[in-house]
Amino acid sequence: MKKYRDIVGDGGSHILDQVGQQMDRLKARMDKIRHKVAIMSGKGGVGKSSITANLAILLSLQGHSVGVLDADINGPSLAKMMGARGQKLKTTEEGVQPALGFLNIPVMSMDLFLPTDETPVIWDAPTQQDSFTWRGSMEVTALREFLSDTDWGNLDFLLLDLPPGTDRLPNIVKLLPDLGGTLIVTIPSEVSQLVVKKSISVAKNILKTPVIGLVENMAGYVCSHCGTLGELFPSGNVKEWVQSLGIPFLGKIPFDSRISASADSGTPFLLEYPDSLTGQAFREIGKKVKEFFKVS
Amino acid sequence: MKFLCIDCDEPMKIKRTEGPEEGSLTVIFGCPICQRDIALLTNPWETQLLRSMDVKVGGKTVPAEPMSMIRTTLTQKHEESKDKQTILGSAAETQNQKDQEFQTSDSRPGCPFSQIVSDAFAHNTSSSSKEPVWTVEAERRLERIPGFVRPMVKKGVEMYARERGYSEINEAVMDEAKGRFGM
Repeated sequence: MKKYRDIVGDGGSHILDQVGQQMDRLKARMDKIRHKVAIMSGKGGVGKSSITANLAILLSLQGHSVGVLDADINGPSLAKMMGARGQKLKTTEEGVQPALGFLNIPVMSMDLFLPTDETPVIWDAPTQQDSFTWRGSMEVTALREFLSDTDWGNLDFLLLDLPPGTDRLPNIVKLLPDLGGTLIVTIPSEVSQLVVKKSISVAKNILKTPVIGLVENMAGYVCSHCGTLGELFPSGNVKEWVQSLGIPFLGKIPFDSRISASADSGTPFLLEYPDSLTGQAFREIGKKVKEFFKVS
Repeated sequence: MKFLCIDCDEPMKIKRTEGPEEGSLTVIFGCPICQRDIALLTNPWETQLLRSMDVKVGGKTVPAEPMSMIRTTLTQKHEESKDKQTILGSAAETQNQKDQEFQTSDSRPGCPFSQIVSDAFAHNTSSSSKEPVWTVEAERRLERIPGFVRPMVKKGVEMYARERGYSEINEAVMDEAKGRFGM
């Protein structure tokens, strides 16, 4: 009796053909983008979205064409941080036109599809019971559609802000086999480092994706009165353990409450406070990212 | 997934699909040698998994629209406006879009399908009568309707057919329903 591999074709279901066409469409779109960068952590609340937004602004200010994709389907925040919230999406023959954030940076996020602040992402289904069986597939397809059906145009950089979870990067690598690099974010706390180490293992050892390096975020805080740097978390030597894992240490970013205030007021932090300690830290990290990609 | 006729040791071929109805998709396979037919009946999770991949068993007859899975499956979403240069359907469909762009939620005001859809869902849960079956031609025509209004149109036409006791939805039934809904 014949076995699975003895049978050529799929009996006419054409499922694999359709999946192949989807991936072809994705590749055609992504071929126009030189460097795809995933900003990840594994841990939530460490400032991935803030770093994504500010890195995008920095690169754009330096003359690079940049787009940002909010890969956090269930907790999207980038549209807000990029000043693109509330824009209506339009469809043209080239695809869905992204919202435009600060400096006209194209932004795509699930937030742009949701009608109110309170609306969660709920997928239509015969029943929501046991939705765990298909929810992950929905989210990957949504990501694929964001990547392939958004009219990104020609970009130097596409920054992808990943949600927490060590399982997220494999989905991205499946969709983007030519992912240019991962930028890993932690905060100084040991709890964060415990989770982030797992993400580094996934990125470096299992998926073997290029790792640009690690950023230590919220590394102290900047006093709003005197501008001096104080300690925010009990800090281990992040730089040392990161380098022991063979990962470049990209730098420390001090917490500055003016970042969220700038986002709320609609002025990019890096435009308003370019010479602040935090602004200087972002510039230094941006420089190392560009060195990684050999971009001047 | 592949199917093999054990007696003939021959791969079976898809003959047709039906549904999904109440979350289940029916796929009929036949053996090209002995002509025996079998039916694959999916459970709601298997049906949803296929839907989540934005694929159709047997292949799509029209190319997928941009972000079609998100558009058709997200239960509550923002309106989307269309550029004039976008050609997505007939004039009637375009008029329909003006009223219903990107809306499938039955909670939206002003949507002519809202009550129809909620009635259709209510009917589904209480009725045990046989669901009307879509002909291939009608299904193809349905696929030509923009994805973001397609589920509502489908439910509306099915309800129309059920009310009249039609066992089959063909293009004539679609025309009748279209007249009723003022499309």
